[in-house]
Amino acid sequence: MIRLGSSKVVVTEVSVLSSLGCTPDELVSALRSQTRGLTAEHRFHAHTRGVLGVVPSHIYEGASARLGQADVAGLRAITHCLDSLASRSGVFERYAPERIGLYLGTSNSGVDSLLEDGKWRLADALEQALRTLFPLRGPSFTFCTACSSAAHAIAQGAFAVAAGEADAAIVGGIDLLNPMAVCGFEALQILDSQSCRPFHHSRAGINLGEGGALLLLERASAFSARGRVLGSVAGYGCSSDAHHITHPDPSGVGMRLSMERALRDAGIKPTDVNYINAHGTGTRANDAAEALAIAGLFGVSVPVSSTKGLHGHLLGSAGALEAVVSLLALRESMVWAGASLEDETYEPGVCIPRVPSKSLMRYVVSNSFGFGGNNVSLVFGSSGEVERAL
Amino acid sequence: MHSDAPMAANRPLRVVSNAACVLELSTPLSFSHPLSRRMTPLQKVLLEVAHRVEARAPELFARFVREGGCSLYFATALGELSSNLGMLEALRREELPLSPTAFQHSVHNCPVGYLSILMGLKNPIVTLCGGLDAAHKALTLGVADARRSARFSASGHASVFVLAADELREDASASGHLARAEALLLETCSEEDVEKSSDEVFLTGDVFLPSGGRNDAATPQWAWPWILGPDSGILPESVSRPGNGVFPRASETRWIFRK
Repeated sequence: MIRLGSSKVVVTEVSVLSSLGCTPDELVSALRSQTRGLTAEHRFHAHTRGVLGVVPSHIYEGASARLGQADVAGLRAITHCLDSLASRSGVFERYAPERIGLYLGTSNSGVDSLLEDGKWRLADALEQALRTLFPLRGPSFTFCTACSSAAHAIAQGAFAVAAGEADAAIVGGIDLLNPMAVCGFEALQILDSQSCRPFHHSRAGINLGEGGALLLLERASAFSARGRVLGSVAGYGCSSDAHHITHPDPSGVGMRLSMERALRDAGIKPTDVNYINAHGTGTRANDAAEALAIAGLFGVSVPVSSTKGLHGHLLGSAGALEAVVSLLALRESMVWAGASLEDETYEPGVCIPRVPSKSLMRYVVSNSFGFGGNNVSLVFGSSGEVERAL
Repeated sequence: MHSDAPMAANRPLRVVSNAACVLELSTPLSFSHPLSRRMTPLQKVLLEVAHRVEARAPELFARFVREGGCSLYFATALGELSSNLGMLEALRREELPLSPTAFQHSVHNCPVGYLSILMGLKNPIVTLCGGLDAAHKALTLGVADARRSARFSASGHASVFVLAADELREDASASGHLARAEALLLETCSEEDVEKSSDEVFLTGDVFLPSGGRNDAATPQWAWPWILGPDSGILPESVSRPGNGVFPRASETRWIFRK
């Protein structure tokens, strides 16, 4: 496995789309105030009585002549994000098209309109459409591992930049909710009709969310050119539970292996980590297993929180939004907390902060654990760590 | 505009073992498991090729995959197509709730998830929707992974297990074919290994980097992009595969399989 820790791949720009906000500053403000973006006012009333984290409708509504025959809601949303990322970073002016990679994660892209006019819309439809709308001629891939999809996309994009297969990579993902996803999770009976409470003793399931994020990855030499970076992609770990197609291994062994591999790839110890942004879905199974895994590897010294109680579970793009949450924790020197709850009884063995707090931040671990027992952990390093290493 | 990075070394890889399968109703399976009774054709065909790869090189499969923990790269263009179409139809008819089993099967990595469960593999597994180029994209990423991993390993050696599978639509096949899959177990080697060998298959050449845009969806008549193909065995002579017509420009493909 490649050593990302020695490769200095940095994140120089991000764009976000979520129920907490559509800019990094809006997201920071919501995280600081523990604002919940979940609402019962959404477009899926016919399918669920629960709360969802939905994005502003103006992002994806309305026809777009620019998108032509590929005009679908998901493409409008991701195009909005990429336009924002490109205008702030100048990526298309600074790099040749064949030297920019595109690595996306999705769980349901295209599924809601699989068969149209005798042709199939494939899950890589967004990737292919972006390649025609933007000067993107480098390597491009779409990853579909359910809830760990975007985390894989970030890692693979980082590998490509580190190895010289691309000079820059646009990574992440945007997933919009659709009836099949909402009804599917209803059928699994793991949705919480109230706001979810990750790691809490009374947790009752997931709140779905939509949106995601795009990140621009470059080599660390870009630091001097840009003057600032958000942080680095310092490590990647992946494992398989080999246990059950939807339920995690209750022992947390696979999840722990994922985090161990990420730390090894980053070349750091558990004591070097200042905050863990957990997968923390709010289901009894995931949170129990993840708490065991974290406690076994880190003990109770590292604060752990899941922000899904604020923005919902974004499925395939969860890893992207939560990567940005992790990077913003590094930028702001803040340990984020989940939603504020009156009863503060959580899963034993893990340190769950009640409120966001200032902290020295060097490394953050972000977990994404998907159906099929696919576990991915990413380590992000602070801008200060990048500067020290240069 | 600039490009200041070193290119990845283009080490050759040896095809340790490979298998391809077109699953029919009558195809005998080389594996048996209580779960297999309820598995979809896509899940069965992927398990079948994986078991065939292991059967053809059991010691190396154990060393590289089971004990060595190499990464698996799996691609499917259409995923569990029948399950997804069935659920969309149920939604259209407002027949709720949906089948929880069908929804579990709707994720693209479900087939390889079952593979990891039934074969007890805790390896890193990456699943791509490769679109029309599914198998080739899995091969591209898998080869890149192996070449990068070899640079950082103490032995200078790495391996990777590449798989691809897709369901066949009823209207695309009148012959009873249900699904197809291909799998290759690859290990890095040296140019010297390639020169000294007379009867093995090697993969040399550049990593494929698609540079053309494409914005059309697949048609049912789409030809699945085999890598070596179902009856390839050992290639009889050095061949350069220029592309199979799926890529925008045939000359983009630069895989070279040589004996």
